[in-house]
Amino acid sequence: MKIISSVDNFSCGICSGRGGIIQVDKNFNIKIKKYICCHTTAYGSGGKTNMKQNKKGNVAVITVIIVIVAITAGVIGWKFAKKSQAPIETKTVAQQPVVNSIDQNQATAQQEDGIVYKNEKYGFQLTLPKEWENYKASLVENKTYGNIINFQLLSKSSEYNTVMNIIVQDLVSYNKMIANCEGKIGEGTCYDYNSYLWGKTSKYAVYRIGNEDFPEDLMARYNQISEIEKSFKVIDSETAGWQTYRNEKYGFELKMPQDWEAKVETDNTNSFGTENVAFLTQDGNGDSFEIMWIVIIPVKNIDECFNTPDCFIGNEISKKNDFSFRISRGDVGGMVPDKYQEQKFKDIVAVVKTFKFIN
Amino acid sequence: MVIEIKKFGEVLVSRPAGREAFLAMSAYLTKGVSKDEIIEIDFSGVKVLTPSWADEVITKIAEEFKNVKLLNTENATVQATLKTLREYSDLKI
Repeated sequence: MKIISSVDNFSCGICSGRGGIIQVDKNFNIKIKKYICCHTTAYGSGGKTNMKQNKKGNVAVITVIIVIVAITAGVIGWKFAKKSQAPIETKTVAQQPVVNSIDQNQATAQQEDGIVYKNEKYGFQLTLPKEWENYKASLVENKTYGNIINFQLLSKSSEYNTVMNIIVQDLVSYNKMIANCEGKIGEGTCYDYNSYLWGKTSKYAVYRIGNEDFPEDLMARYNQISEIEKSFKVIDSETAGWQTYRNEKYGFELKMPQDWEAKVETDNTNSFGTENVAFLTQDGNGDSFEIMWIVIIPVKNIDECFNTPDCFIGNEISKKNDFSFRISRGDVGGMVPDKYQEQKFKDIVAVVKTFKFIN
Repeated sequence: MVIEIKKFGEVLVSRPAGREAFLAMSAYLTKGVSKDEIIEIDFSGVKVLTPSWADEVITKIAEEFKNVKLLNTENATVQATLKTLREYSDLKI
């Protein structure tokens, strides 16, 4: 994933108006520390075209703030100078997301090449650079989109700030969101989500849009995110969390992804006695399609079927009780957009490997 | 382990058909087989083999297993296909 954000994004629209830390030392000298706001979008910073205008605006705003703060500081200083010589500090705290719960599913381990962040619940791990040693990870639950895991680091001002947030969304709602955004990229919350994707586990999509807000001294840590992204690793097994399909009539079962459904079809169009179990999933537009079939045909009818042009029964995967169990793929013929082809095929391979007879 | 290619037909063409054959193999032939096991791919009985079908099967088996041997490759289309795969698809056997 390309990270477009840079220091220039300070003026990005989403963060305009955010304050900084304004410090007044004991000699009433005023210092303003900028906050960095970084928001990665598919269209760049979005602030570049208004950069000059924003800078002018910023200068005016800062001047007004300086005057107000100077007057305030003068009054406060006049009032309290005699009582104390301690410096007065005014802070504008950057808006932080509401943290509902500390992420209980994480585990960390220090390694030579970094710190391993392992999330058992969502089934993935990351390797964080050594400089992230004192990070805090917290989970923000969000039912509309995905849950957000905020990674916070300590800034020079001794506050924890979110330097990286990643979204974990169940695959069903992720796929729906992608489908809803088809042809609407850039509208509302429709981003090119696949370009932000770090990876998928058997149940979740893990991605990062990037909308972090932190002080400038953490910029070097922020710049390490692309390195962290490369370390993304799925730790759940290929079929963990999948549902089980059981066919009692023919006595077999297999595991399949949560967004698949099975449908038994009796083929009455020929006299070969075939029975198909069709497995349906969704394409990029949210439309259901048949991704594969398990074709069950009496062994005695196979040869006759092969000699008939319209009888297509795929390849045999096993035999039992005079029936041949065969596999036929449905993810061909342009039904699945190219970008999903490889993933769908990997799913099918994983599914057929779980095929087994009951008893 | 011996994989008899003729089980998937005598005329082996197209990528979809090749993928389907690979799927069937994944389910009953190569499931749970050690990566180090010797896999012998037997082409006897095959009349026509095309690079598209073979790229979905032979190349993938060769990627998955370390010790792959090819048997009975005398058929001209088999020879030509293997040559093509070695040249264009990085087949190392």
